[in-house]
Formats: sequence, structure tokens, C-alpha cells
Amino acid sequence: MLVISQTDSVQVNTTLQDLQAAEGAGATPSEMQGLINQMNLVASLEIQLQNLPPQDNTARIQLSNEINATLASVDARAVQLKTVASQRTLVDRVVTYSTGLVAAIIGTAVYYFGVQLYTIYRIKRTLRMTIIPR
Amino acid sequence: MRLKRRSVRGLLPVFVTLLILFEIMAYTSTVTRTQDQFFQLYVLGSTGFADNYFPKNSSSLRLGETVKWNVGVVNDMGSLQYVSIRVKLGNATINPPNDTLATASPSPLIAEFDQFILNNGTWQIPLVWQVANYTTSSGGQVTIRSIAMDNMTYSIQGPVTCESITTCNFRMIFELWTWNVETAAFQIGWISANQRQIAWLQLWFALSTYSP
Repeated sequence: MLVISQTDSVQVNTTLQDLQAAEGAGATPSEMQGLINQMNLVASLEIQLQNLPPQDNTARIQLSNEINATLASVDARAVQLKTVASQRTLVDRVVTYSTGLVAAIIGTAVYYFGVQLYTIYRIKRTLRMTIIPR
Repeated sequence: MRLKRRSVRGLLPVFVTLLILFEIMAYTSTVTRTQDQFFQLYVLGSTGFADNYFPKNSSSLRLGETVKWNVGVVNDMGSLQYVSIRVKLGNATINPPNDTLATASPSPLIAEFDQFILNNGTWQIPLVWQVANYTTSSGGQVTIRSIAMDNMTYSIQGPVTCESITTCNFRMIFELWTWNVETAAFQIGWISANQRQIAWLQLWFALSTYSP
């Protein structure tokens, strides 16, 4: 069973939460994919670390450092991505709701001019009428 | 054309009605819908379909005979997940995972595969394995000692025995574990709507006395 060290599990947890927050804020799968690949690299390094003999301290330290550096880098990029994605989502929402307002103004104008045209048509039609005495 | 005050007053209800209508449409297009949260776990045969699980369609395996499966997980949890597939070796008597209590099988673990999967993402791993070593006691009891899987040989850390090679079956158990951010550790299954759900599969096989 893969046992992730206490320090690494805390860091994996923090990074995962930040990645989920970035995804929830609206980061696209293509933006996330690069970070996911890095996290999967961390998962494979954890397995390598576990398979190393306990006496191989140099390799253990090297792998641990690589894991920590990758996690820190992914975490920093996830936080950055979350900020960018949430700003983009906010702008998208403002644009969507503004489109609703613009559509309502256009709809009202169409209604107004439609009514005006119909009134002019009715007046013209009335004026063209002839009175036929019986 | 100048709008008269009376016309403006007449247009106000039209504008408000249209505004409400379009803003409802905008809201429904932006709102996040809640969905069922679940995982799918599957095992397919060597051809990538639900057949050809064993060589020559016989689940009686000879020592060193290679079996190819494709194990996959689909993430429908609505967010990125860190998942683990744990492959265990069981026999007919050892308990499988318990769906009611949501507990893992006590069978010995052979190997574990971990992956981060995006929402709606699929992760499929080709699994190539064979029984690398088994022993038969003087009383006829058969014990699988090691399994070779993906170019690694895993010693079985627990007694998985059978009374006789001709009468009993072994099974590969696949359990789906997921990372729980609250406990910062893997847990069996996942939590959806405050309930623990688990997903597991098993494939039975027997051992053949004939050695290649």
C-alpha cells in the first residue's frame, strides 16, 4: 500500500484543494491538463520513493526534493490559475447579464417601432376610406 | 422621433417584462447544475471489450501464462479527483469488500495504481499479469506466492490458499479508493450526498496443473 509521508500528504492535499478550486472557478480542462500531468508525475515519484531501499539516502533525498519542488510549483500555478479563471468567469457573467439588458432594450425598441408603424398604417388606412352614401 | 412621456410610461412594463425574461435566460445559462456524483470502475478483456478476459477463453491459468486486462475509472464527481486502484488477491473464503459497511477486503494487496483524473475524465490502464509462483503443500493445499504484474513481481503478503488445485478458485479484486481532502489520506470509495459509496470488481480464475 502506498504510504505518502506526512509532509507530502499535507502538501498533496493542499495542492489538490487548490487545483479543485481552480477547476471550480472555471479553469478549462486544457489549462488544467498540464498541472494534472505534473501531479501524476508526483504520484509515480511517490511510488519510486517507496520502492527505494531504506539505505539509499541520497536517492531518497533527491526524489523527496523533486516531489516537494513539483508540488510547490503546481500549487503556485493552481493559485494563479484560480485567480485568472475566477476573473474570466466574472467578466463572462457580467457580459451575459449585460446581454440580457441590451436584448431587453432592443426588444422594447422593436415593440415601440412596431406599434408606431401599426398606428401609422391604421391612420393611413382610415384616411383612405371613402364614405359611400346609401 | 421624440418619445412622449405617456409612451415611455406605456413601454416600461414591456421593458421590465423583457428584462426579467432575458435575465432568467442568462441566469439559467450561467448557473452550475448539481449532478449525481459517482465513479465508474470497469475491467475489460485484452481486446478492450467485455470478453477475451483469459487466454483461449479458459480461466484455468497455467504458471507463467499471461493475462491482459484493461482496468478503467471514469470520474463523474464534478471535480478533479485523486484516485487509486488497489488490486488484491483473494480466494473463495476471504471476504470481498462490503457494500453495506463500505469496508475494504482483507485480501492481501498485490499492487496499487494512482492517478489524478479531471472531471468527466477517463483513466484506463493496461494490466498484464501472470501467476509467477505457487506452492502445493503435502496435504494438497495450494498457495499463490507471487504475481508478476507490469514487469514487477509482487510477493503475496498473506496466505491465499485453496484446499486443492482442482476444486478451488482464486480471484483478483479491484477496489477503487479516492483521496479524502478532509483526512488527507486515501479512503475506500467516495462520499456522495453524505453517504459512503464503494466500487469494486472481481474476476475469478483457477490454476491448472499443467506447466508450459
